[in-house]
Amino acid sequence: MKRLFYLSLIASVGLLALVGGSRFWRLNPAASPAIGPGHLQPRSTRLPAAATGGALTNSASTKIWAAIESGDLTQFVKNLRDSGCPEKTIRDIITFKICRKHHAQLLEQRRQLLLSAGFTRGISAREWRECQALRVQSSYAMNRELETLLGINGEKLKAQVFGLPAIWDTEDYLPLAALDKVRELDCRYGQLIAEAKQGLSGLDSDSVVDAKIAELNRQKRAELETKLTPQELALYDQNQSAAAQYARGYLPAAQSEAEFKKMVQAVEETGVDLPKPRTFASRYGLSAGDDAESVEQAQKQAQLEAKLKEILGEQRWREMQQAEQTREAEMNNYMRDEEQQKAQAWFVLTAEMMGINADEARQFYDQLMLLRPEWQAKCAEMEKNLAGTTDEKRRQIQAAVQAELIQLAAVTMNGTGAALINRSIRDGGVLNGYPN
Amino acid sequence: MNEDEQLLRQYVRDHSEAAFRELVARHIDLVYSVAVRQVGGDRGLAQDVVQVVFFDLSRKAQGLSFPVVLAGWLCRHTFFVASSLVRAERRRRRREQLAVQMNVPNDSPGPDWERLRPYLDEVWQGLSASERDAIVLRYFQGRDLKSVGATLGLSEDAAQKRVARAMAKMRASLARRGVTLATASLALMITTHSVCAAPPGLATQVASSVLAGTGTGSGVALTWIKTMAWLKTKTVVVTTAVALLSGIAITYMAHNDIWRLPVFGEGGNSSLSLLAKASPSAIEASQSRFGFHWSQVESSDYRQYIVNLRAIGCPESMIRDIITADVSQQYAQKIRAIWDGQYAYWKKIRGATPGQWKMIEPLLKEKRDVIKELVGCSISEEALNDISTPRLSDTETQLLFLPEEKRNAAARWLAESGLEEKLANANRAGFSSEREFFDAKVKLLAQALSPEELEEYRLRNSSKADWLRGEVRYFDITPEEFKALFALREQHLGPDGLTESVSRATAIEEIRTLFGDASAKEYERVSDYGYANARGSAESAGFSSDLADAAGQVGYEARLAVAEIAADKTLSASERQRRILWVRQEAAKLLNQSLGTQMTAGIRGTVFRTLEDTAQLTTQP
Repeated sequence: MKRLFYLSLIASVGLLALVGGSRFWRLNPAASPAIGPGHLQPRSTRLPAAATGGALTNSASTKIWAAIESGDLTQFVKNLRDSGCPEKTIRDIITFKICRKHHAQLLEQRRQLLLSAGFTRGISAREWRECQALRVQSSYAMNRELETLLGINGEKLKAQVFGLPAIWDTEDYLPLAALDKVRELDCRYGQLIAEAKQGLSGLDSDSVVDAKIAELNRQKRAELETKLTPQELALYDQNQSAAAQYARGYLPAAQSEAEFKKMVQAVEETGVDLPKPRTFASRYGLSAGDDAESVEQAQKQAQLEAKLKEILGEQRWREMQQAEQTREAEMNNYMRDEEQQKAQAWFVLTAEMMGINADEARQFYDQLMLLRPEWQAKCAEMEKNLAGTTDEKRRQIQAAVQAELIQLAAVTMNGTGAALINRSIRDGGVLNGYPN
Repeated sequence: MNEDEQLLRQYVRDHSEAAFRELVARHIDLVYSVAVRQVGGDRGLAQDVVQVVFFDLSRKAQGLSFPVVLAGWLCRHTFFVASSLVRAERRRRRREQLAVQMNVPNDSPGPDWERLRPYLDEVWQGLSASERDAIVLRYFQGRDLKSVGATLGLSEDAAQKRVARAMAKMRASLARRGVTLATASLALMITTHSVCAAPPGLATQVASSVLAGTGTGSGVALTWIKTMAWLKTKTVVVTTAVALLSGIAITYMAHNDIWRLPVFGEGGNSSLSLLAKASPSAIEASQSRFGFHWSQVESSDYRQYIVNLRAIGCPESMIRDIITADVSQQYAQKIRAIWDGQYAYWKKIRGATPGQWKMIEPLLKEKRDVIKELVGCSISEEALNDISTPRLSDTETQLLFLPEEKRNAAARWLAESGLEEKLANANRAGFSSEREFFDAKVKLLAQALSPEELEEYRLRNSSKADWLRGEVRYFDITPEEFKALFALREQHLGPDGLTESVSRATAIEEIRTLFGDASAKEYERVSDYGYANARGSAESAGFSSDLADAAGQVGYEARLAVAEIAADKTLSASERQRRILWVRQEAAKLLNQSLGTQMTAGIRGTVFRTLEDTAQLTTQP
């Protein structure tokens, strides 16, 4: 019996090998070039997609996708689901599709505007404002479409799909239905406030306009209170109240939610407002009223600081301020480094444009940066021996430095080097004021 | 005879459940740990592996040749079982596995262990059987050298040498894989991390299910165990018949192309039908109304995934989007481990710190490279932001006057040249590189655009033209006149690309030269910024050209008056301020008279600000 089993097993394996072999020849294009559509090449020899763009020659496969894709996005989503497409991939496809659609619409609107303006005149302020309004509406419509189709907050979804930081996704704290109401109010009142401003910029102030805007904000708040549940309203305030905005924007970073709540409470109790734009008169130093206002605000800020010390503890308050200072210093250093890198990149790019080898230019620039302390000492020495005013001395030193730089550049970068130095020194160029 | 051997013999001889349970309890952590590593951290799958391993032990115990180092046998067998199970899952799960690796929680073991973990079992497998046993006993089980020696039948010294030799081999092998560690660190890490606790209750569950001959696990393991049990209990005759029948059936199906799925078009060589035939999801595919199942398209290999997407006719642009999204999300998880980047109402809205940014930048570059390698082009984070906001980039706006095809070609040309990136990275105090190297950009575009298009590009986008456009905003000028004026302006500016505009006097002279005295006079009025600001504001508020011109006239006259007052050195500072305020009030009155009081707040604001600027500029030394 056992022998029979082994025999049948061997027979089966033999048959399978036969079938497998024949199918391999039919499937594998390398083994069977007569059939092989390009996309069945072995993986190891596969080039990046762009280099092998001929895979869509098969009309049958195009038909398959045509049956899945639909102009009606609800149907498209359904079709994708029916084909077994995972939800994550559906989200990727649909999010890209909707975003691209709105982006293309924006592109077309702007194109029409640019073409109508021609090259003799730019886009007027009014046209620009209308463009911006359209953009905001488009963004609003985009999120709404994404949310309707996929049931996830649009901003959150986009950040997820595109792998972008969600730091600006400041609306996810509300359920979608409530968020929709808030957005509608933001949109409507935003438009009313823009109209009330009558083109007044944030730099200017007008009492009539200010009163109208204040009234509109009051109406908006009243509507918000009727449209949101108490819990939603509490969430909204927690995120959007003026005190929360002040604490986020103008106080050191909180370490925890509890600490932040204490800070917000302090802001509310002391009544510190978000800074307002200064009026024409106050900027011109002529308005006593404005001065009184700023004195009052300064007093409130002092009270706030005292209150924060009290509730957070002096030690903690100092730590928070120190952390802010450290961060600021770190940012400044980073920006300085970045500026230096950009200056070097400018020098190299300019050299390239003038026909100088980029590597030589880079080396030259780096060398100058290394020599900076040495040159500074030389210049200080030179200054001691020069006569005349500070300005005259500075000019003489600069001329001497320029001459020396040109000489050095001529040696390392041929004749064009001198032109590069001249260009780099002129009008705030990257070597202007070197070595200081 | 070591304790494991005793228990094993007891189980074989007496079918002692207690002995088997004891064996499971003694080794479950070890087996579970190896399984977890082998299945890439999937603890559910690891539990299935554990079930199978102990089930096999129960079956094979009788056949084991004693003496045996059970721990070593279990490790090896776990390795094989896990590999088999994983292979079935791997195709779909590999991409996700990457995400799992990237999403290591903060309290996870250190980076050295993370580097070592993927290779540990592979390297261990490369040792000889006796060395493997030595490592398992010494480090996986944490025994002392005396005990290791006793189990292996060696003296303590010999055991130490064997362990040391095995460790040296492992170190060398790891070094070849790019993981360099000191022996002490390696030993410490293996001891610390190689064995983790199996989930509570797993030992009892495994022992019970194995001894009951059923298995309470799920999925693949359960099927396997049941099949094995079934095979063992059924007669060979049935098996033989099944084997024969299956062989015949397979031959018949292959011969008649029964596996071919009908939707994929004529002929069995359609790419998708081949895809389906090669896939185990053929049954699901036949259930989909599109004739394929998406799982057939997915692949752990992105290139294969792309090929499969093409095979179902997915458009290239959508393939790019799918791959871009997928890769971007994987990198986003890595980035999030460095900088959270999530909004919380109590946190300040801040970008990454410079330190974090230094770590993020290479990842972003790597991501772009990966996407480019896969789909032939990459999309920057800025561009993704532009799509999602939505907004237009500068390059898009600059090329917008072109038809779509030309626009895309020019954009590609610019992107591939790398000039855009260089321009973005290069700057000098107060100057934009875009302006300075504009001519270089034009030269580059000459290869993608016709001479007429190139000329229009210059007229629309050069900062010199832009400046000129601002100057003649309210001066009636035809396109031809503008071109002539621009040509003259370029002569005056010279070729360096640094200077954008000429003095006001030169500009007026240019107009006089080309269009005569009357035009020059008109130009002088309408190009004054008092006029231009007020008129622009009035137009923005929706007033007609005539009324806007009237507002411009008020702005013009008020600005000249303020300039005169501010320049009058015979006046005291307070007197100058008093007179300027008077001019301001008069200007407001005139504006109200000509435009009314509705919608004029913005115009007044603009005029007032212009007057302030004039006063400050004029009084400045």
